[in-house]
Amino acid sequence: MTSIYIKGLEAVRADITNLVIKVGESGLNRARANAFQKYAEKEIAGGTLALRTISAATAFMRGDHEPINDTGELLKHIKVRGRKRKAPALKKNVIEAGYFTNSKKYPKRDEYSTTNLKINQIATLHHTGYRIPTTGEKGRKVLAYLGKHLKGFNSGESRVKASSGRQFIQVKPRPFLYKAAQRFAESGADTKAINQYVDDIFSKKYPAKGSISSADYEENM
Amino acid sequence: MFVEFENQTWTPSDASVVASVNSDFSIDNNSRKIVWTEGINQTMTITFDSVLLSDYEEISFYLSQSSVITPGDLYTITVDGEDYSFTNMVHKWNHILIDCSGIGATTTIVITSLIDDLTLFIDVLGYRRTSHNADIDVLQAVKNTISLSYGVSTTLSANAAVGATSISLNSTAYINNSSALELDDGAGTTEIVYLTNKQGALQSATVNAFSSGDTVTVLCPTVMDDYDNIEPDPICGVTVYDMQTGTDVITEHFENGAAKKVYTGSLGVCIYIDCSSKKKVLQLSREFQFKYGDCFRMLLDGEQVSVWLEESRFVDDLIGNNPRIAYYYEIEPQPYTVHKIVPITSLSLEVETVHGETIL
Repeated sequence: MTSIYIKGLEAVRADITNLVIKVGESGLNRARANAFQKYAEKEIAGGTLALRTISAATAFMRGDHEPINDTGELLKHIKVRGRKRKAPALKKNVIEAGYFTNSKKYPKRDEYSTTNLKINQIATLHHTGYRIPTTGEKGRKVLAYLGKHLKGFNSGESRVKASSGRQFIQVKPRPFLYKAAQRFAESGADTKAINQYVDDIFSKKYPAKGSISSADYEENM
Repeated sequence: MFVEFENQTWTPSDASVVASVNSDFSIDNNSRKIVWTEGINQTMTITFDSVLLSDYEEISFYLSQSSVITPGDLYTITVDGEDYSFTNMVHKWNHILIDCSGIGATTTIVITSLIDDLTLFIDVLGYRRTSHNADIDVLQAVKNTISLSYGVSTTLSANAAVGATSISLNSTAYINNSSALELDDGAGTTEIVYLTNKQGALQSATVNAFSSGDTVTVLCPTVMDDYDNIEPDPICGVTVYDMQTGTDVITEHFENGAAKKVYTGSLGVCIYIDCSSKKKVLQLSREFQFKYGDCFRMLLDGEQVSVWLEESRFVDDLIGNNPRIAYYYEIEPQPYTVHKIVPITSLSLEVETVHGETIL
């Protein structure tokens, strides 16, 4: 029986094996997570997610973000977290996209910034929304703070009063990461990240150990 | 939108047919159980306020039949002179749709048993159509479904006359400055009032009179933040955080045809529990997670739909805010009808024989 030799078959086999290994090592998920991080930062800052506008008062209370229509410096702290270094509890191939570190505090910007919040706490406040009472002991402190620090007012809590019947300063949820993730999938950006990663493997950007060299690959083809 | 037939009256044709209100096996705690005992060909007639059904798309109801070992048609449901036959079904709730766009003003539906002994359950009987308020229907359905118990009650320490602008409470433990309270005189009169401070000042004067010792229950109302008073503490708020686009075409089958329908994108709904007391937030959230949590069912435009949890987040008292837990869901409103599919009920062919040929 005559054997059949298919030119380049071994190279294709090596590439597919390499692809399987790389996917199994969480490389693909990391590429997707990195793509999502860039996508989320761009979409949120660009105002394309139709997030609710922050009022001047609430933006002021959380520190002076520029511009007030997005989440300010928070965007720079969107991270990607993998298993090895940061999260031993995560499964082997799991990469967390849109992760906010829980140890870093948001720095004071100026004399009016009082927040000692951690980055992930600020992100959580955005996602859940919140209510701050304007009555009772807590409310008195809130109104006094606004009266003391709000630009344009001289001083004193008498300058700031809650309107009749309004017991809370209400901030509605702005779950920017969930919306960004939805758009990331719907827009095809996730598929594009996957395709790009596979292309990079086959273009030898991520060679497997012991695989043939690029020169050999081209010769065989 | 969905509307139940109003002022329904259930009238049997004979003593062998008995209808009763049932809450044990029901979708909305108010189903009808109809039992035929040696009642072959006897009927149950449902009459209601006249409705011009051609203004709507479908008659919708849930039907369940107790198991029988009988082949063939077991009963018929007659609407506008048209009989719809039903064979043996598994004992569970089956959603039945009848295209009513060609039916005029109607006041009756008749159910006829074709066998001696039969038991049927019917629930959520009404008519529906899709409108551009489909998202509001979703929010209203969520609001109607979620019910949480704060678990705090006390009594009035003094009488409250009609028009009272404040009430006196025996205990203010876990009562907050803007709590919603239900006053109950124990004789059938209840009234919901809203505090402006926990000492008992009210937002609005009382409509009814209550006596010292009457029960006061703290409510955790479920409210939509665009339409309802959003100030109570505690509160279970329902708010929209996203609206997505997309098209997903399905085929919906009726007893008398079918229709191509299209979903136009889901609604992102955030349900949050917010209270001054962190202990109560934890308690209410455990109740929510037990009763609704990962997946719950609700009636949306007369149809039971499943709602799945996407994410949840807890936020503590960080900047003087109330503790809160938020649950995020994606819910599809009812689909729009694209076009109807009318079944061919009869087909006749004329065959003519010509010498030496056969022509259809």
